[in-house]
Amino acid sequence: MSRLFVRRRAVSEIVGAVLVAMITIAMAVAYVMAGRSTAQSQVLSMVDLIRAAERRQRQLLSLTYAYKDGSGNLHLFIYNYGSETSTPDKLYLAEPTYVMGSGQYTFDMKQAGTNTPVPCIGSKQLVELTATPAPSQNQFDIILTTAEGGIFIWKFQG
Amino acid sequence: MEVPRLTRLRLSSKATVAVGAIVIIVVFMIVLTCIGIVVMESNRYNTSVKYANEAVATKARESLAVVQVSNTLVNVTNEGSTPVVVIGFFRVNPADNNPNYVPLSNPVAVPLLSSSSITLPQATPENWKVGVVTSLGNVFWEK
Repeated sequence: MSRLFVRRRAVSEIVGAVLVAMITIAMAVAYVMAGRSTAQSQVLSMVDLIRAAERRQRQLLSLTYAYKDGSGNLHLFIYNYGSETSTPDKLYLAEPTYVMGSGQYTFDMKQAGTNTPVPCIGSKQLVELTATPAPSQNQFDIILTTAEGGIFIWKFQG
Repeated sequence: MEVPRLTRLRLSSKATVAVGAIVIIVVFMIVLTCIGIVVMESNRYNTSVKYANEAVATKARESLAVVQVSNTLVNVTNEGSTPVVVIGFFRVNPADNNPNYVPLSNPVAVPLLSSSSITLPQATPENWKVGVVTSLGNVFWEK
């Protein structure tokens, strides 16, 4: 009876030690994996930010020609000489005293020289952007923002 | 009867060192991978910035003198310090100032300090104002 008791005690010590070892290893693995997951999410956030900034850098828009027609529409010929496609999303025509939130215009866009509507300005592409109606002034700022985060400002002098 | 001591069940010092080394190596590799990814993306961003700056600087160096020789021929002379590629031209009717953009099916390269003649795809009255568009988005009008 006494030998059996001793054996049981020895087995429980082994099981206890193995359990402690397993718990320790599991906690270490969990700690490393949690750290890896945190590091991965932080790195991916940084990569997203860097890539967004890179896309902004690769957008290069040039206003080649602008005029107001007899119907009161403003026509802008915009050329993309960058390597990234630009998607214009907001157009502001700002007078010298600009009020935030005002001056946003709707516009249509088509490939220059044709009547083909285009949703974006591809690389090395010239588009004609028509804003309706044009401001009555002959001097104002044209502010164009793109979905890719680009902001372009030109001066119009009619 | 000798009772087995718990100390005999501990990992040997070599095994402890090995486990510790593995954990440290794994953490080190994770950190190295993260830094490598960020550095790689940062290099790509720097390349884009360099490309954009070069394009803007090259654009500023473009300069063309445009002369309409006839209603189907335009002569352009490169007066700038960089080669220019003409991709199309504007023609503006002086009656209403409305422009008409005509792309060239074959862009014309104008080397440094040289002239090129561009045949207009559409006949343009000589009293219309003609401007050529370059591949960097500049427009040079006839004087």
